Amino acid sequence: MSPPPSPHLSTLTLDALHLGGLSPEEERQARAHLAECEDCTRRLTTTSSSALHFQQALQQQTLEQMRARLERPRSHRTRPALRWVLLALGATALAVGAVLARMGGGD
Amino acid sequence: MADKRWEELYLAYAPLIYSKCRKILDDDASAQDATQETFIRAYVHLAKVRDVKEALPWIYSIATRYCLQARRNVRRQARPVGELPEPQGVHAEESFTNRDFLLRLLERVPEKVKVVAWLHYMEGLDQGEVARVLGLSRRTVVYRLAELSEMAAQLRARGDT
Repeated sequence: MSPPPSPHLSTLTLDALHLGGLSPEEERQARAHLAECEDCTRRLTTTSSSALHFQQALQQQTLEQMRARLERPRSHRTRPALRWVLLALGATALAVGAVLARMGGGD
Repeated sequence: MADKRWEELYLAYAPLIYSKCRKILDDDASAQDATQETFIRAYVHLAKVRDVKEALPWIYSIATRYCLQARRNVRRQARPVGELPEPQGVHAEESFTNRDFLLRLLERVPEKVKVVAWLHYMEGLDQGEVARVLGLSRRTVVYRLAELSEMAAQLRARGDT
């Protein structure tokens, strides 16, 4: 047996409402629910304030970082953390190679 | 060069996707990274977008999948940005009574079940919405939720509630 439908608005509905992407009837129903549901009203407020924070403080900076990544050749689009791991692995391989060469040269 | 349509997509949805990622990851910096990764992936698959105005479910799917993968590695505390914390998972308690049990369960299920269960139980999408967001049939969604219920029963039988 499936559980009863949730009495709350889904995140997708709240997000579509925030974007103004609901049909007039869907929007009327969502707003009627919000008028009576503190949980959903709080969720919508949190979404709006978090989205506003991104818009004001992070949107442009994030766009520029992504543009830079996309304009790099594909092989250089790896994330910084992954790049450091690859560099560390390369350095380790070189060090091991140098030690082995020295051991071989000592014979 | 970055595509104009992609920038249109970014400007329309990035603030909302950041907010969504922050709710899942509970951390500002991780949410910013996740937003960036979501739109980089969107760029790669941009040909799938017919109309930017209708791209919300698609971009939702990319962000949710990325964040659920990242959750396994991200366990840092959220740094507040000045608003009340999200009462995340308001939908979970109707079906699982114990949200922590659901979260533990989600750590053990395959990714394909996890993403369906997250959208349904944590974000309250109905089965039709989950199907639309993930591009699955409704029958598949029902089947994956049934898999989750079966695993929940097994976990409870072992005394983990």
